[in-house]
This record gives sequence, C-alpha cells and structure tokens, in this order.
Amino acid sequence: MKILLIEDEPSLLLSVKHYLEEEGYIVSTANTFQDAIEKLNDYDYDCLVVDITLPDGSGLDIIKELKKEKTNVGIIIISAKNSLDDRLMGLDLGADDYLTKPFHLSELNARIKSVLRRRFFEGNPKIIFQEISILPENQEVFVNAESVELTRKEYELLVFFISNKNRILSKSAIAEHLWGDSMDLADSHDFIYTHIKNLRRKLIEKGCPDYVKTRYGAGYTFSEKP
Amino acid sequence: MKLLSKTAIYLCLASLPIAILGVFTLHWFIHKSTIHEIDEILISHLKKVENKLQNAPDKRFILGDLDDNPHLQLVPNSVKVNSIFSDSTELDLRENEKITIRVLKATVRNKNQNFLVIVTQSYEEFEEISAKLSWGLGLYFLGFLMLLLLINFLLYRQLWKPFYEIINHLRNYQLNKSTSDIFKKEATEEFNLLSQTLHQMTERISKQFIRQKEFTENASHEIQTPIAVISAELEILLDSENLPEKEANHVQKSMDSLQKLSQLNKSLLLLTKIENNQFSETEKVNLSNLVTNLLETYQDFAQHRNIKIYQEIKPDKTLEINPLLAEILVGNLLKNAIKYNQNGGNLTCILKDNQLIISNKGDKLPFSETQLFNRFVKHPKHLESTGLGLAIVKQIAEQYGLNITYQFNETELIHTFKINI
Repeated sequence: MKILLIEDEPSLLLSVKHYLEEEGYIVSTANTFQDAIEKLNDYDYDCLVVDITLPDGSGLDIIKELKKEKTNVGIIIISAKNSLDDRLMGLDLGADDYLTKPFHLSELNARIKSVLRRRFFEGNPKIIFQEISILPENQEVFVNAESVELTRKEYELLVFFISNKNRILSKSAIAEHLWGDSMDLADSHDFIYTHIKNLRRKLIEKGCPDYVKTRYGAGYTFSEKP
Repeated sequence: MKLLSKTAIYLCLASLPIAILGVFTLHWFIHKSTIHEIDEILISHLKKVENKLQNAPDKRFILGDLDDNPHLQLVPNSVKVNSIFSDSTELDLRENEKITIRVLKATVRNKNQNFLVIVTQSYEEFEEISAKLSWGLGLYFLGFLMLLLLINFLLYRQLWKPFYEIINHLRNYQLNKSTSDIFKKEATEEFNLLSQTLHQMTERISKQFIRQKEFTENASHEIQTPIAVISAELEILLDSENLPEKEANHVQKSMDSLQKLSQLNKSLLLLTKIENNQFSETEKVNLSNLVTNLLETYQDFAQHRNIKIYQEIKPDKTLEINPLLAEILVGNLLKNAIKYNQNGGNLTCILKDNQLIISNKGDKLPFSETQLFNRFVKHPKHLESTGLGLAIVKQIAEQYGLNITYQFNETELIHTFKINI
C-alpha cells in the first residue's frame, strides 16, 4: 500500500513517515503544494494524508485536483484548525476522514486502515487477527467462527487494538479514540481499564489467548507475541 | 433630557433677561429722546414769549393758555435765571391723577421789567406710549421666540431622522459585516459627516477585527503544530522496544500534560472565537434531541461511577442558536454534572418549555459562588481540568442573551444550573 504524506512541518512529516513505514506502508512525502501535485501526477497512491495549510496553497485544492481524475484513492485531511467549515468542505470534496492536530499516530494509523478497508475491500471487508475475524459492515465479531457479543465501545476498542497490533497504545490515545471530545471525562484510569477488562474477558471466554498486554506506565499492547 | 428641550430651556433663560433689559433700554432711549424734543419745544416757546415781551410793554399783552402756560411773573431786576429745565408733576383733572410735566424757567428782560417765565409741557402721553411700545416689543420678542421653538419642535423629528437612523444602525452593528450600505450619504452636512466618519471608523475596526481574528487562529494553528510534533515524537518514543517502565512513565506523563496544553489552547481559541462573534450563523436546534443524545454519550461515564440519571425531556423543544455552540453549552454542563458528582450520586436533567435544569449531587464549592463562571477557577480536587468549561458556558449564554443561574442546596448538597430559554 502506497501512501503520500503531504505536510509542511518537517519534524511531523518524519515522525508520521517513520510510524507508517513500520506499519509496512510505502510512504512518499511532499512538503509543498507544488511538490504534492507533481508527485500525484507521476505516481499512483492508495491513500493520501494531507495537511490543509501548506506554504504555497491549500490542501483542499489538492483534493479538488485529485478528484478531477482519479477516484479510488483514500484521503485523510489533517489540520490544525478544528474548524467545522473546513471539515465539512473537506468531506464534501470527497475526503474520507478529517483529523485535528495534535493527533495520536495510532489514531491516524487506525483511520488509514479503516479508509483502505472501505476503499479496497468493497463488499467484503474483513479484519482478521489470528482466530478473531471482524465484519465491520455489521459490527460483528467472531472467534473461531463463534459470535462474540460486544458492546459498541468494546467493539471499537477491539478494532482499534487490531489496527495497531504490536504497538503500545497509551490510555489517552484509547480514551480519545473511544470518546473523542468528551474524553476529558475519562480522567480516571480505571474507567478505561474496565472496558479493556471486559473485552479481554469476553475474548478469553471464547477461547482466545490473552492478547491484551499491560505495559506498566505506558499503556496497553494487543499482540500475539507472549 | 432631549437636546431640543435643553436648547429651549437655555434659549428661554437667555432671552428673558434680554427681553427685560431690552424693554428698559428702549424705554430709557425713548424717554431721553422725548425729553430732548420736549425741551426744544419749551425753548421755542420761551423764544416766542421773549419776542412778544420785547414788542409788548407788559405781561398783560401776553396771553397764556387757560392753564396759565406760559406763566409770567414780575421779579426784581437783580434776579437772573438762565434757562433751567426740571421735571414736575401736576394734577390732570380729566383722569384725576398726577401726570409728569417738563418745566422750563428763565428770566426775560423787557426794557425795565424783569420777568420770570415758566413754560410747561406735559409729556405723560409720550411716556405712556414709550412704555407700551417697549413692553409691546419685549412681548413680541418673547412671542416670536416661542413661535421659533414651536417650529423647531415640529421640525425636530424630521430633521433628526437621519441621526436616529444612524444610531439604530450602530446599535445593530456587527463587527463581521460591512457597513458601506448602512452608513449612506446624508443630505444634512453634519449627519453626513457623522455617517461618513462612522463608516470610516467601522471599516477600520472591521479590518482590525479581521487581523485579530486571523492572528488568533494563526496563533492557535502555530501552537497546535509543535504540539503535534512533540506528541508524535513522544508516541514513537513510548512505542520503542525495551523502554524501561520508569522512563515510559515519564513519557506518559509528558503526553498527558501535552494533551492538556492542547486542550487549553483549543478552549482559549473557542472562547476568543465566541467573544469575536465568529459563530454568528444560527439555526433552529432541536434541544430535546441534543440533550438526549449527549446524555447517551455520557452514559458510560455516569454508569462507571454509579451515577443515576433522571431525565425529563419535553420533546421537540427548539432554540435558535449556533448548533456547535449549543452542543458545547449543554455538553459542558452535563460533563460538569458527572465530573463533580459523588460516586453513586444523582444527575437530574429537565428540559421544560422555557428552562433547562441540570443538577447534581456534590460537595459545597471550595470557592465563592461568584467565581464559578470565571476563567481558570478550578476545583482543588480536579486540577487537571482547564478551568474554562463554565467560562465557555457563560460566554455562550451571554452571546444568545440566555440567563444562566446557579444554586446550591446546602442540606441535600445539590448543585443546580438553570438556563432560561
């Protein structure tokens, strides 16, 4: 999967590139509007991560250009402006998602996965991790073909975990993913822990090994490695 | 007091002494002129008497009026009087009152006889005319003034109409709207000047406002970017293999603080934007749905702390408001009611026709009630909060003229927020 990352802040560009490459993507970068347009003309990408504010133009214009010809490319906007107008305009132009800075890399990763899933496995997207398989369309989860009843939050948590498997997920990244803007209410740590505990229990009951590892002081990891 | 009334009062106050002074000055002037003319008449009278005496041997040939005017009297030769004018009175038989007269005394020699001649002339009539004329003019002056004031009063509304229109425009003035079509050219020069000056002023303010707006947004943007960089770097650091627990803990704490910094920056930006009236687009928001949805969103948090939610929502209650601000307004209040609730406490949310009531159980405020809506006022047990939640609530409420009140029931430990809608 090839990703074009368009961002004018070099440090952020490098961090995101590094993180996504570890996920196994081929990542190209562009830090100006012009650079991005040239790269888009020369190569094909599966997903575009684009910052709205660029020194020589607007990320929104890149999306406009792109939508003129190619259609089957996932687009995620990242912006420092939490502006409803920008968000609506971006989504109207055909972007798949909108992420406000600062964001957790794990969140960006999960969103990219979700976009790619929707774009490339149309009709039959399926998330598979060992014996766990998830049908995102109906939000159904199976362990060894046996259905698991999860609450909405537990389901979201599981998908987030699998999207970021083998990564350390901080509590705040999990809280923000599950509760978004109201995450400031999730200030007590045992609140997130309760949800994780329940998910863990339900998976183990169906015969899964305990994939959720607690990394003290850092967060949680979902991994098949012991 | 209206400018019109003030002008009228000052004009009256100033014109009254002017009128009175005018009456007396005129009267004095006419009096002086009259005396001058009367004296000339008396002198010519005296001259005639003198002529006659020169030609006639004695006074018998000089016949006076019936009222003995001129009066001739023989005096010794040694007496010599050079024309003396004086004022005197005599009884007017017709009206039976004393009237003023002018008297001229002089001695006239006739060969060997010396006469004292007294010529008199009444000038009461002239005085009366003078008084009538003076007072008449004074009264006319006052009457004319009253008439002017009346005309001014009648014209006032018409003349000042552009002024009130300008005031009205100013009252409804919004920073983010252009004023070129509301401050038009006026026919009256002064109002035109006012209108044009206001137009220039508002244009300047508007430009400044746009610059300020851009600055705030850019500042926020500039701050969020380095935060995003630090956040990403820390996340990579945390994710690196073999990071010892102690170090991971430090990274985690830094990430938490960074998140708070970002939250603070966002909240301050939001406050500035509300203050700057940047959420001016409104629509009919279904408050009932909004409250129900938010309660559902926060359900997890309430459940976790065994908080019982009691809700009584009147369906399809709407409010003309910016939808984003409505969500923040209600959201912040509900979040507060959960955050500062006791474990196992109650949360009551009632939406009635004209009121939204949100209350929760909790300890007495550790600070004065008057500080509750101030910025950066935090509960000592919740220092991690931004201290801006209720300040934002207040700002939004003020924006839409919604009255928000806070009450605390000491015996049952119930905090209640009420918004009149």
